[in-house]
Amino acid sequence: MEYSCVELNDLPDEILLIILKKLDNLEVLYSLQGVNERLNEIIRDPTFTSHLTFVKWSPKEFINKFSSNVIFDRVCLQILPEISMKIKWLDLESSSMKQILHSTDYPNLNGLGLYNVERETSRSLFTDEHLSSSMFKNQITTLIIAIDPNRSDLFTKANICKHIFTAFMKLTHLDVFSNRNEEQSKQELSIPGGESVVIIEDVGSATSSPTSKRMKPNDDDDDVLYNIEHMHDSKKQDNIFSNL
Amino acid sequence: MAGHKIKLQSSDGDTFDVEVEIAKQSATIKTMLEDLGMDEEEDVIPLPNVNSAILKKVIQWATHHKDDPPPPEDDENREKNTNDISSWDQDFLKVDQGTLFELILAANYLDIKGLLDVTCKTVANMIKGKTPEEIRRTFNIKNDFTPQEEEQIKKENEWCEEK
Repeated sequence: MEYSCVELNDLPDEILLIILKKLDNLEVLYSLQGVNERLNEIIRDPTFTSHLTFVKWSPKEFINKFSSNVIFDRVCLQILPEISMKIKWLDLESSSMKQILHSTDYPNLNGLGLYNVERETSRSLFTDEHLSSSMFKNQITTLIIAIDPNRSDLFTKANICKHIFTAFMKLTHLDVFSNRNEEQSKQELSIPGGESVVIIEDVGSATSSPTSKRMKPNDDDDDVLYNIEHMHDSKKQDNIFSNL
Repeated sequence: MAGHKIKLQSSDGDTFDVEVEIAKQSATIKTMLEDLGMDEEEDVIPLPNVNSAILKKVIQWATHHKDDPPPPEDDENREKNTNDISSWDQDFLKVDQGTLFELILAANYLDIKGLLDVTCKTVANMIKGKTPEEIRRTFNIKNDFTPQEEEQIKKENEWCEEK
């Protein structure tokens, strides 16, 4: 067979998109940002930049996707600042969430998935002055929390939820997971106004269900804010914690 | 019993006798056969976008996969997995990069989902884990950033290395 001279850069955008969609978004950004003008343009498509997941599900727990500091540093110092305008959703693991959130401003971020959350990280994150005064307070409408049950007693969980209701003033949708392998159960507490707090105790179902599917538009933030604050003070809160 | 055959003609004029059921893995050819009502063995389907060497490879792939179930519909939410390439396909795709890219173009033109999927996964695996500089070297891509843009990237790298 004669050798062909077609190269990767000769493929049409349509084909490059098919190839790149086979990869995780962070893999695409890590390997291709800064290669050449054309690839830089292609990988800025919202397909690769709007939802970034720094967490992966290893057999029994959530872990950080990056084991290499070199890769993680490149992502935080070079890649995130360049695409910050395009990021709408971040899934983060406890050990690196603060560093990632401080890497740049995320003016269009409105969804957060926080995994392996326990007492110290939640306290440190939710009371962070910079994040609380802007991003948490004014932008985040959807929040997914996976609490580490091995390092969190009921009091800790109550505190985490208290911090959530205090810091996230625009919150319209909250999912709380606890990764215990006990009897699977799911409880949904309806809040008047059409919004909801969901407690799911089966992480398997959490990982197989894309978080973005649970996002709901909300036209009446004031009502929701009232309801979430009301929950914080009401007996309903006890119901939430008793299920975690 | 050998099935009914049709003739496929490559861009460089070679013709290949192929069983209809094998050729119909290409949605493009299947549509042509149905729309044009071509069922005579003497009818020739011209494929002006595929040369003889690539068409031969495509027929080889389609013949091996003729009994495969139809590939699943595209699902954006499906877990991204590039490690499920069969060993036969891995051996089949041990070709030079140019041939691999021509196979992708042919699979796209002929609309053969299974072949497009496996060839694109192979390229995705070649990309995975490489730095931009390694990508340029691997795929012979020229760095076309302006000197100012280059300077900016270098500065960012220095910052990264200092940490």
